[in-house]
Amino acid sequence: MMVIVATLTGLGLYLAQRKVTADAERNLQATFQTELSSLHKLEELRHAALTDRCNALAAKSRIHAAIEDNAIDLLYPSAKDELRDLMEGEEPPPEQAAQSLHARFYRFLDSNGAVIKPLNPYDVGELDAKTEAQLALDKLPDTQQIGYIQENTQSGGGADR
Amino acid sequence: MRLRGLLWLNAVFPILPVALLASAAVEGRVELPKSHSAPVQAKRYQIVTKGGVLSTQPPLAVVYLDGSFPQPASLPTKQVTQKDLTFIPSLLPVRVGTRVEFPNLDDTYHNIFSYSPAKRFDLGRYRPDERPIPTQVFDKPGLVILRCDIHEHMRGLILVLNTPYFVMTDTNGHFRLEGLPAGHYTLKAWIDSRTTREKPVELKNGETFHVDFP
Repeated sequence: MMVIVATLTGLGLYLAQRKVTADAERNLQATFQTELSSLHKLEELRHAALTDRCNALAAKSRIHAAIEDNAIDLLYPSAKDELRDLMEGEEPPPEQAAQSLHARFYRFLDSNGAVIKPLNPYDVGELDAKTEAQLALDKLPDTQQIGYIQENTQSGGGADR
Repeated sequence: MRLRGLLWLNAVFPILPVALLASAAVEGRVELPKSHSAPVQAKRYQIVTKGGVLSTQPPLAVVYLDGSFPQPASLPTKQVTQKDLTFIPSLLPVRVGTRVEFPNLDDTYHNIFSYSPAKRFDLGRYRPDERPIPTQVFDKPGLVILRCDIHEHMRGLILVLNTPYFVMTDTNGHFRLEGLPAGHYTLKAWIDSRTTREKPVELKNGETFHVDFP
């Protein structure tokens, strides 16, 4: 009799533990999915804001003028005025980075996908030649592309940006 | 003989300036690109960009006699106004050295500038009642593209020419240039920012030369 009671109790405890574990796992999964989904939404919002900003920049008269009127020397100075708010100020802390756009550098690509060298790199965020070379494309894409560049940190390791 | 007759006629009836009688004329037609928009009554001319090529819409051409001509002591001041967020005229041919005023007739700010190699300038933001009216002297031949920093759709063209002899065609491409000096010249037809056609001409006093640009 005792054996039967002990077995049933053990089985009950085992099933209860399984249920608790399964519930916890399900909750964890749900929380993870929710957080991942909000992260994706936040990322989409950032990309949308970035796209809007790039489109607005590309529509500016001075950017058009610099490219169409062969005044490439005025391209970066014109963009500097337009992107001043993105480049100025401190980079926000990681927990706020998702809500605000901040740029450490910007470069224009020509119609062949090559980087148009800025006359004064200090104004547009300095990059070493190797890093800058990563921005070049074989040809201009038809749609917006988002990529990452790898830069060498002072400690010698690599960091994605 | 015909010239002598005309001179006699002019002496009796002084209706034509003698300078015109002792000069040549050119007339003809420029084959203009097809207009991309349906004709609309009282439609404004505007500058359109297609594949980086700027032209007027509906299409117009500027025909001019290329050559070396003495520069006059002074030239009349021209105007390109900003009205209803457009440049009027949208295409202005001027001689090198011409001063152009840019009055703002809108009730909003404008900021006219050009990055063109023939003339770089930036008038800054100015009000409709800005005095003196912002001006620029166009002292180098070439095409100057006018833009407004505030209103991105605004485009205007100033074609700065080395010659005093130029005329704009009508919308059918017809033109007539009068009071031209006799001699060998090149007649050019500016059609858009990438297309200028040319033909050699030998002008004789009292004669009208016919030139078509197909």
